Formats: sequence, C-alpha cells, structure tokens
Amino acid sequence: MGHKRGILGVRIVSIAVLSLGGVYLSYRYLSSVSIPVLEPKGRVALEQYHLLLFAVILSLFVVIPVFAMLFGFALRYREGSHGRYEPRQASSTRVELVWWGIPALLILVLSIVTWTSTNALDPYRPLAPASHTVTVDAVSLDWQWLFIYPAEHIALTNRLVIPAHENISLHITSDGPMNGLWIPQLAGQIMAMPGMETQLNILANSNGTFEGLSSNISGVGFSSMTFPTHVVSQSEFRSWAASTRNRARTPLTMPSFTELAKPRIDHAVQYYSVPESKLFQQIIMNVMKGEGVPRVTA
Amino acid sequence: MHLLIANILLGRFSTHVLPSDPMTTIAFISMIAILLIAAGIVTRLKRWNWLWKEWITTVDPKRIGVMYLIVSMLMLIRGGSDAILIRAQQLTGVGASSGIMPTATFQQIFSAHGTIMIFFVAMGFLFGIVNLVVPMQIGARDVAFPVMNAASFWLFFAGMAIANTSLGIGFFSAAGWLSYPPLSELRFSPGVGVDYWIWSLQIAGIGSMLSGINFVVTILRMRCPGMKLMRMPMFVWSVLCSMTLVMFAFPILTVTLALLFLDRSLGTHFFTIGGGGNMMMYVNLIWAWGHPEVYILVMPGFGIFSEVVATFSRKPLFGYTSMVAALGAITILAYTVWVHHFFTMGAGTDVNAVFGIATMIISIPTGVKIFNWLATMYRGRIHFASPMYFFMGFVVLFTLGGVTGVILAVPGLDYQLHNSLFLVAHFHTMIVSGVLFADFAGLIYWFPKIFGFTLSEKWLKRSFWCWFVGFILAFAPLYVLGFMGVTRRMSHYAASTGWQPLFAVAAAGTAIIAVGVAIQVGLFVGSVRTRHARRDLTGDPWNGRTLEWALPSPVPAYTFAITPVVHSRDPFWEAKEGREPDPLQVTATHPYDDIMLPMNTPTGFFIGMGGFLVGFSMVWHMYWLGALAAILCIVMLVHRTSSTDDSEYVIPKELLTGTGRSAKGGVAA
Repeated sequence: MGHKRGILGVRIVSIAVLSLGGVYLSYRYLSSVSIPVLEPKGRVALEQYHLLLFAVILSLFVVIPVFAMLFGFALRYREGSHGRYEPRQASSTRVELVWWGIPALLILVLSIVTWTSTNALDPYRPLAPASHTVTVDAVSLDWQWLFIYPAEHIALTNRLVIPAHENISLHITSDGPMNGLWIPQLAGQIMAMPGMETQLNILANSNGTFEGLSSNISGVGFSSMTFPTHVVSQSEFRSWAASTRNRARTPLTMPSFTELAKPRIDHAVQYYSVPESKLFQQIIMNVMKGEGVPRVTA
Repeated sequence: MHLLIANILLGRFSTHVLPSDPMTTIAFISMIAILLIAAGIVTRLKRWNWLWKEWITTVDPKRIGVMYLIVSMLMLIRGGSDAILIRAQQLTGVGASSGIMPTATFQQIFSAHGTIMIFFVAMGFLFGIVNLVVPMQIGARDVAFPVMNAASFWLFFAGMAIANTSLGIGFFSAAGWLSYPPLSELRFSPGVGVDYWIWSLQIAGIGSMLSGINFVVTILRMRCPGMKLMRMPMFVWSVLCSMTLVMFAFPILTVTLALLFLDRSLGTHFFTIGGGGNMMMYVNLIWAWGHPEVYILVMPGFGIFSEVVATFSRKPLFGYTSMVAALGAITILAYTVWVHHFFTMGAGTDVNAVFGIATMIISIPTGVKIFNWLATMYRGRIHFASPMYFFMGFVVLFTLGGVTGVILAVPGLDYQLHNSLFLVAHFHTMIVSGVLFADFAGLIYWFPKIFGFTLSEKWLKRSFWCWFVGFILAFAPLYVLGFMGVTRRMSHYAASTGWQPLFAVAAAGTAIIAVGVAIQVGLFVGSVRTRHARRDLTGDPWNGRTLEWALPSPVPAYTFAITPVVHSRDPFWEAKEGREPDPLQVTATHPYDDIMLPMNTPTGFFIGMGGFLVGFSMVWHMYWLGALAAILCIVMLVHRTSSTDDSEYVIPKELLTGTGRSAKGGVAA
C-alpha cells in the first residue's frame, strides 16, 4: 500500500512540474506576441475586454469548487484510501437544492449583465453624435474589400482609413457570398451579407494600424481578405480624404464596380472618386434582383 | 440526339470525374486498396457466406451495434486524417509558402472533417452503443422494429459511402460542414461537391430519424415487468431524451437539405440571394436542427458517465430524480437557443440577449449533473478503471469548455470571438470530452458484455493519456489564436503574425492524439489475440449494478433466457447484496417460455443500398436512376410490411432449460 501511494505521489508531482513548466513557457511566449482581442484600442473592444474578464471571474465560482471536489474526492475516496464509505447514500434534497440554486443565482447575475451589455455593445448603436460621425460603406467582393466614403466622395479597396475619436458608422453588405468584417482591436465582427445591410459602429481610441479580416468563409480567396485599418488624427483624415479625392482618376460607377467585383485575389489598393452617393444602395438592389456580377462556372 | 440521351442517362457524369490533385489521388487509391485487402481476406477465409448470413442480413441489435462501431472507428481514422491534414496546412501555409495543398483541397478537407466526425463518428458511436445497451438495460430481447433498425444502419452506411465516394468520383463540398448559402448555392459552388454533402446527410439523416422513432418506442413499450420509468438506468433516460430530440429535429434537416437541393437542381429560390430567396431562412433552419443535434450527441454521453461513475464508485447514482429533471430541462431548452450560432448576423439586441440568456440557462441543469456525479463519488469506494480516467478527463475539459461556452453565449463577447479559432476550440472541447470520451468509456465498460473478454487496462490508460494530453496541446493554442484574431477555415497567413509557433504546438498535440488512436486500434487487436486469458466468466467484470450485468458474457442471441423482473433502480446490485431476488430467477410461477425472435432478412441492406443509389444518382443528376431506386425502396417496404410469411422463429423453452443462469449461480459473491 505504501509503495502504491509513493507511485501516486511521484505521478502527481511530475504532472504538476510538467504543467507548471508548460504554463511558464506559454507565458514567456505569449508576453512576446500581440494578442489583439486582449489589447483593445477601440471603445467597444475595451468594453468587450472588461466583460470578458467579468465572465471569466464569475465562472471561477463554479470551476474552482468542481475541480476541488473532483480531485479531492478522487484522492480521498479511491480504493485503498481511508475515506468513509456509504454505499447506500443516494440523494439529499438540501444538497441538491444548493446546486440547483447556486448556478441559477450565478446565471441570474450573468443574465442581467448580458442584458445590459448586449444593449451597450449593440453594434448598431452610434458611439458619438452625428456631427462626429464618419460614414463608411463596406462591400465584400470575391475576394476583396471595398470601402466607400459617401460624404467624402471617395472609395478604396483593401485598406480602411479612419479618424480616431470619431464614430465610424460602417454600413456593410456583400456582393458575393457571406463574409464577416472584423477588426479585433477596434470592435467585434458583423457579417457582410448579400442583398442586406448590416451595421457596425467603431470608435478608435488611439492612432495606429490594426489588422482587419473576413471572418466567414466565402470561397477560395477567403484567407487573403485581410486589410490594414489605419487610424489617424481627425486633421490627417480630412487632408487624406481631400488628396485622395484629387488624386483618384477613376470614378466608381456601376460599370467600373462591375469590373472591380469580378472574382480575383488581389491585395492592391485602388482609389476611386465616387460621384454617385447612392452606389451602396444600388449594389444591394442589384444583388436582390439577382443582377449581381455573374460568376464563372467551372 | 446522342448527346441528349447521354445527358438524360448519365446526367453530368463524365470521364473527367477522377481526382486530379496528388493528395486526393493518394487518399482515393489507399481507400480502394483497403477495400480490396478486406475483400481478399474475406475471400481467402471463405467468409462471404458467413458475412451475408450472420452480419449483413442480421436484425439483432447487438450485431447492428457492432457494425455501427466498426464503421465509426474507420471513420474516426478518416476524419482524424483530415484533422492531421488541416493542421499540416495551417502549419505550412505561412508567408511565401502556400502550404502543402491547394486551397480548394483544404476547403474540401475541413468540410469533410466536420461532416464525417459529426455524422459518421459521433452519431455512429452513439447509435452503436444505444443498439448494444438499451435493450439489455430495459430487459428487452430486441428493439420495437428490428427490420427498420437494420434499414437505419444501412442508410447510415449508405450516407457514409456517399461522402467517401466523393473522394474518388468528383469532389466534396468546400462550403464548410453546414454549407451556408449563398456560398453553397449553384452560383458560387458549381459542380457536385455540395450535392455530395446534401445527399450524404440526407440518406444518413433519414436513417437517424428512423432510429429515433425506433428507440423511443422501444424504451416506452418494451421494458420488462417492474421497470417503471423512474427505475430505468440513467443511460436509458438519456437515450430517451436524445431520441426524442432526434424525432423532432431531423425532419427539419431533411426539409432544409431538400430545399437547398431544389435551389441547386431545379433553380428554385428558397435561399438564393436574388429571386426573393433568403439565406437567413437556411441559417435558422439548419441551426434549429443543429443545436438540438449537439444535445442529441452529448446527452447519451451524460448517460454513459452516470452508469460509469455509479458502478466504479460502488454507490447508487446520486440525485436520480434531479438527473432526470436535468435531462428533461436540457431536452426542452435545446430547442430554444439556436440563434446563438449567428448573433453576428444583424439580429436586434433584444433577440440576441434573449437567446444568450436561454443558452446560459442550459448550463444550470448541466452543472447539476456534474455536481451529482461528484456527489456520487463522495463517500464512495472508487475503483479507477480506465472508464473512470475518461470520466475525470471529461469533467476537467467539459467544465473548462462550459466556461468558454458561457463566454460565447454573451452576445457582446460573441461579436469578438464568433467564427474564430476560440469557437473551434470551444466546440471541440465539448464534443471530444462530452461525446468521444463518453463513447470510449462506454465502449470499454460494455465491451466484455458484448464480446466476452476485457480489453487491456494498461494500454487503455495509455490511450487515455495520449488523448487527454494531446487534446490540451492541440486545442489550448487554438483558444489563444482566437484571441489573436485568427478566423476558422483559414488556409494561409502572413509570417509577421507570429501565429506559426502556436500552430506547431497544435500540430504536435494532434500527432499525440493520433498515437492515442493507434494505441486504441493496437490494444483492440492485442486484446483479441489474448482473449482466452481475458475471458469474462462471471458476466460481471466491473461489479455492476444494472440488469445487463446479470447476463452472461458474451450475451446470447436471445439476450434473456427468461423475462427479467426488477424491483428497483439497481436490480442486480440489490440482488448481489441479498436485498432482492435475482432479476433472472427461474421459479415455478415464472418458468422458461418459448422465445420468438425476428428472422434475418436482407430488406434493410437492400433499402440501404437503394438509398445509396438514390443519393449517388441525384448528385450526378441521373434523375431516372434516382427515381427508380427510390421506387424500389418503397416497393421493398410495402412488400415487407404486407408479407404474410413467418418473419419470426421460435427458440423452444426446452432448449433454454439450464442455459439461463439460475438464481444461485448468478449471484456472484
């Protein structure tokens, strides 16, 4: 018996040493790389990060007792140990009420937080008054992103430029299959759906370049649908928009859009002027009527 | 004219259907080679006749269960190979390298991985164990509809065969395991890939629906005397709840797949973008099936662990009534949460919040189950056989997976983590621990009952450690990658992201799991070879509690020589303790009787093969052949149900005398 206990002890110690070593190595590695969701740079992403911490801490109230009981009981009541044996004990209303009740209370707390946070983090909710809002129409193509700035009368592909501290009101659709627009450091994702318009509001807290991507599979070019998001100051944004308007030679109209929307994997940034401010609605209407860009059939 | 006739006869079948890329060609050739070797062995051993008479035409749920398990194990290897290839691509598709395979192949592989693992591994193991165990646990010799049960299996087999045929003839879907439109519509996915997916699931799904009906009726109508509902083993309760979900969820799948096929073949506009179709309708419908499906898989897993924990703790299951209530609550709530799969598709805040909260509410009954298992261990005498290892691993992983699930259930957080590798890691944690670990535990636990010998405990424990450690290494990095903004189904990424080391760890974990699978196959072969030394002579190798352990191992074809009578939830345990009579006791007032058993019939097999033909023809638009095969299936059904031939045979009671264990012999001290 003593021999057996010795082996168990050695096993527990070696498992603990290995796990701790793994945790230490992971920590070393993770502190050397960027983890966007945990390093929020936008107002929404920051609130999401706090909510995440709250949910994790709340769930520890279940995880810790479960693990303690699991391993505690396993050690104490295993064959050959000296734990008490009650072969006929099978129920206890009092005890069962406790573990229907405590998780129910935790979920009640979490439900209240869920209700309020779902409203607070509603992607459709503007984060600043209209006077401090820049509207961007985002269209996912096969397999590029097109960003139209209707007020600035410009458009560009595969790159998003936005001012910091202003509400960016994204109106999103797709000219191909479903995609997802996600810039993890600024806000959560929302799907880009053909023939429909979804919305996402973003407010960046600091300047910088943050990676954006498509989060929903849309065909062979899906993995290359990444785009850098440049957050610049308000004045930089205005001058960038003005110079782009002057520089862009090609106007984005239905014919040039149709050309652009042909399936291709392309990272090039193209600049357009946008004479027609209703282009976004036209794209949606065309898709709904089934007049989207025709596909090559294999 | 010739062309027209060829079009009608062959649809879009042509000589250009064979695989073109090396990876698929190798996979196809090895699959053919395995089939030829298997056929060669059967021929060599002159076993074709035996295979036909004893297995293919069988209606015995024990044999049907074994066939489910064999198919599932093979498919675990197929789906596992897919997993290895996914990991290999995501490890190598970095920066200038496009990885080891073309993106189109990669997308087919992850679509096949998900489809095969859910439909032909998880569902297969589930139906296998249900077939083996449920009749024995309720004291029945058979299921309610034995021929329908055989048909269910062969339809499952046909669905599996359709999915695997795509490896060599044509190609598979590249639209993910749930094939959302519009990507899965003809415009974006021309060719046969999505149609293979549709018909593989359609045929297998009909089999599942029939099984659901079969086992609900079996459990409600065929329990032995004294087996009241509240005396049923917890596994039977979990199967009753799961099969109820099957009955109501699978028709949704059938209809949804049919509508998608109509869109793709006849040009209807149910889910298309133009023409008034709406892809959201598909997304709602598929998850109205898909979310209950998760509980269809996991509830029997809960049932298995309930049996395992009670047996190895040498105590009755704690809080039986609570456990039944929890299962009932999960069954109902399973239908109320489907929207949480698409919070990010623009639903209003109130809708999202309601479905988020409904999702969290499910964690209450689930938590109660975990606490009840822990209370079963409390003041028990726990024997740590390998099923208990899988139980311990399950509690650890399932609890952590539950936490990540609650995180995803908060819509505000789901916006950040949806479709990321965090989500992928979450559902693998739940399904591997709650379904696969449970099925492994159940297989080990009931194996001696079916085959008459035990498996090597030493190697079972080694396989557990490979699965457990491998799983943590394979999926912990995926949680982190999700936080790094890595999306699922990604085939290529920039080197500057710094993701590659984490993908390397994940690949190493996958390799360790593969070693675990190899050990499982090896230990099975090894245990078969040493079976004479590991024979289970008592019929009760684990000191069991429920009815099936009162039977000899292996169980005879007729299962019970005498109709059992039970007086409690743990009838065999109570009998061993001397508090109750042996449930199989033969007395003057309860003597042997003639046993009627259904005769073997090829009807189920033929219906399954007809199902295969229907699916395959529809994929290739050979509509005449599909219609013909469907009509043949219906004719076979009508013939079977209207035939007046004797479809049962009798084992006369004289032959049974002495074969059933008498009361004294059975109660092992």
